[in-house]
This record gives sequence, C-alpha cells and structure tokens, in this order.
Amino acid sequence: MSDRDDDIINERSDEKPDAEEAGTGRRGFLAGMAGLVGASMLASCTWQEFFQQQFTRMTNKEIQETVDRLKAEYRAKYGMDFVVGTEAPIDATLYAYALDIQRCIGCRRCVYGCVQENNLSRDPQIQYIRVLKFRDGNMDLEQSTIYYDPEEVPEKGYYYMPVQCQHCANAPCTKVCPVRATWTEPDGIVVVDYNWCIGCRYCMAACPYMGRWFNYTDPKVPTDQLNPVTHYLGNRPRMRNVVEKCTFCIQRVRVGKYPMCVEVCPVGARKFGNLLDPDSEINRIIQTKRVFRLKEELNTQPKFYYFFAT
Amino acid sequence: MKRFLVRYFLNAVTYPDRRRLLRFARNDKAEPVIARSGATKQSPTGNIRHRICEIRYLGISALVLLAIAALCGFVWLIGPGPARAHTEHHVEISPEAPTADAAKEFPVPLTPLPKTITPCRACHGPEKDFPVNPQRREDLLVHRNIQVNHGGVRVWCLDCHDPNNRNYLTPLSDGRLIPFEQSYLLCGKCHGTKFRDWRNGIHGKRSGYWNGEKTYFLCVTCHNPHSPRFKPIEPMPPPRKPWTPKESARKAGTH
Repeated sequence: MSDRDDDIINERSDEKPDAEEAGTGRRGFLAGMAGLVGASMLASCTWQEFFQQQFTRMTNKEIQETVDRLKAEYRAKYGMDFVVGTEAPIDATLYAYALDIQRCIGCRRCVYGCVQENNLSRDPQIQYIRVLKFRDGNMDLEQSTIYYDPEEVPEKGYYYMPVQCQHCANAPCTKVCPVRATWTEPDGIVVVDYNWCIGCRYCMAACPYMGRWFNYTDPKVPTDQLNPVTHYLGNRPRMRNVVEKCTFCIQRVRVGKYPMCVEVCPVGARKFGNLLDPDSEINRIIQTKRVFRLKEELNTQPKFYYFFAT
Repeated sequence: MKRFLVRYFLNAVTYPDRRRLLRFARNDKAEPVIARSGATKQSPTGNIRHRICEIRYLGISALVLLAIAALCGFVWLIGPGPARAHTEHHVEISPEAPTADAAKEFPVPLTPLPKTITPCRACHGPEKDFPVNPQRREDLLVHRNIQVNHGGVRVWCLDCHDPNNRNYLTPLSDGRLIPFEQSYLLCGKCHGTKFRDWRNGIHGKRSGYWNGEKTYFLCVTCHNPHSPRFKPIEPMPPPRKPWTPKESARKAGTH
C-alpha cells in the first residue's frame, strides 16, 4: 500500500518538469477551454436562464420572472406578443381521453389541428398524433401503416387508430428521467419542463407508444402560423435538444376548453373529460361502452381509452 | 390587519374613559398611563403624540363596531329578500318548464335552412293548397335535388314532414309540433340509442368547455337527413418518411 503511494508521488514529481517544459501546456489548455465554454454559454443563454430552477421548485416570483423573460425572448425572436400561461391544475380533475375507433375515418384533421395549436415544428416534421391504418380484423401494430394516402377515406376493409401520448397513470417515461424534467401533474397530464430537459432521450426509449418527440434541430414554424396563446408546460416555442410531447393542449384544458384535436374532429370520434366527474362523457363511455387501452399488459395504465360506440 | 384590530379593541378596553384620556393629553402628564413597550417615550412631546394616537384608536374602534352593527342589521333586514325573489322567479317559469325542456338543455347552433324553398307554407300552405300526396314516387318536381336514401322503403317524405303544417316536422306523440331547430327530437323517435348517446355527449361532436357551456350539433349538421350515411372525405397529407441513408441513396440513383 505504502509502496504504491510512493510510486504515485514519484510519478507526480516526475511529471512536474514536463509540464513546465510545455510552458502553458495542460493548465493553459484547460483554462482556455473553460473560458471558451463559459463564453459560449453566455452567448447562447442568459444568466437567469442558466440558473433557472425546475418548474415545480420555482417560487411564484421566480415563475413570474421566467415568464417575463420568455415573453421578451419571444418578442425579440418572432416580433409578436406571446401569452405564456402558468395556470395551475383545476381542483378535483383527472383528465382522460376516449377515442371511438369505429367512427374514426382516418382523415388526419386532428394531426394538423394539433400541429397548428401546439406550434409544432414543420421542418423537421413533428406530429404528436400518428394515425395507424389496420386491415379489418387485424390488430398487429407491426402490420399497420401511417403513410397511407388514398383519394378518399375511409377505405373499405380498413380501420384507423390514432395514437398519441396516452398520459399513463403509471408513466414509464417520467420514471427514467435522470433530472426529473418530466412528471405527471396532479390533474393527470404528463408534462415536460423544456428548460430543465437535458435531451438524453431516456424517456423516448422508455415510452412504449412512441409518444415523445425530440428536437434534433431548431424547430421551424412559419411566423404567420404561430399560436401566441401558450402555456409554460405546453405549446410555448421549444428549442433545440429538448423532448416534447402531447399535453392534452394544457393551455386549453386548464382554462376549461376542449383540446384542439377534439374540436377539429369532423366525425366526433374524440372525447375528453374529467374522470372524477361521474356525469362526464368520459365516465359514461367507460361505464356503458366496450373500451380497451393500448398495450395494457405493460401496466402503464393509460388514461386514453379506445372504445366502440355500438 | 388582525393584529391592528386587536390592538384597537385592547385600547378601547384599557382606556374606557375618553374624557380622562383627553385630560391626560391636555395636561401633558409625564407618567405614562400604562406601560406600553417601547412606544412610550419619556419626552413630553412623545407622550402627547402617543395619547392622541390612543384617542384615535378609541374613535376608530367605536367606528368599526358601529359599522359591524350596521352591517349586521342590514343583512338581517335584507336577508329574506333575495330568497323570496328567487322562489317567485321559480314559480313564474315553472309552468313553461315542461315544454321548454330540451331546447334549454342542449344549446344547438341554428343551421339556416335554404332560403329558396322556405318557408314551406309558401307553397304547401292554405293559400296555394298544394294537394297532399303521400305516395312514394320517382319524380319529386321542384324537390328533384333531394335523393331520399334513408331507411330504404320504410321512410318517405311525410314520415318526417308534417302534412298539415309543412313549416314543422311530424309532431311528437303528445301532439306538440317539432320545429326544424329541434329536429333531434324527431330523429330520436327512431334512433333512440343514438339519441341517448348524443344527449350524453358520446355520439357526435360537442365543442366549447369540458367543464362548462357546450355547443351540441344537430344530427342534420353532420348527417344529411335525406341521405344520412357519412360521405367520404379527402385525407390530409401523410407524414414525411424518416431519413435513411438507403432511401436517399436510392432516390439519388447511386444505390
């Protein structure tokens, strides 16, 4: 033991002259790197942004400061005034979703309604909703397709099943996050704090529904198609290297409105409501219709129910 | 706020004699009436200011008490008022409640009827006295654009349109005429389970607020009543396929 220590000491003492020989060698290099990193950090984000807390740990004052900073940032970037809401969950709510796969005609109106409402990147393309097309009688996800493009839908002999974030009660994606940048809100919405996300994409690997999307580059949204009514945990403009996902349109449902996909569905296949309200349509569906949940055997306990109206 | 109120009342209790207080203030006696922590300075001017403050406390506390008493009295007087008004109002509207049941329950936006053929009474009215023909026939004359494809041979025009008053639909079993704006009552006569689901928000679409005001849509907003099957529509474009080296090589032709 002592011999080894001696060796190390000897090695260190041997090294010393080398470093001096190289002049500002390693130390200088490290100092230079630190300076470079610091400079690039300061250039890419402000002091306040760098030291910003995770959303659930921020005080009201800090939240207000953050919102003001974001508003100024968006104002400078897009030249328009944004609303960055921080509405808290409504008491005694647990959101759930139901989708009538007998009625869905696969027209993808929901996909583009969602893109418009949530300021999703057009290029590279991000769409929270995938509409799967199955042959009648088949439920094998491997044999479904999302690239169908016929003249008219519905096609004879096929049925359609839109898939998006299932807002699991036992969400695997929130468990694997190493920094707790994603969590389940008290009203059941699984959200991401984009400023806290480090972009490791563990959550994407953990999600069995492919419900999460990663911004490999800066998201591109045409300025004239921006939706300026946003929520901090929802559709505010994202940055590069963060994960994003469906939030049940948190900026809409937290003020009582239906999510955008429910509003644009031309056949009324999409239903949304409060699980804790015994008179809500979602409860009536679960009580009176045949329902199933996707990949139920994984014990993710989704709050997204597929049902058959007849 | 609470602390201040408590202090006012304590002062009112400890200095009940207002005249004595005034005399203290006027005479400017050196010794403090009660040892108040820190607030009472030994200088005479400080004492005067302090006592004036005490008097003000007393006045304000009396005012507050008066205000509370006045408020209590006011509430006691007014109290039964709104309740009485409410019951009267309820009694007023109760006779019309059974007739206006569904219209209030389901806020449905009005779908304008085609102007060219309404009101129906213009032709089918008592003035023109167009003959009522219940027969099923091919030639529908001015209504040729209507393709009746609803219920096969079981349904024809006058099963839904009231032959006696064409401005309305066939009446309910109690004789009440159904206006076009409440056509769901008529649809519900045959499609009972669908009507139940629609009422509960399961069939069809509702928009607005999940916890508040919702807009229902009439059955005929989505289904053409003469040919109710849903028409196919054009889908929106499919998502772009993800980039792969193989794919891009094939497109470039290099393979």
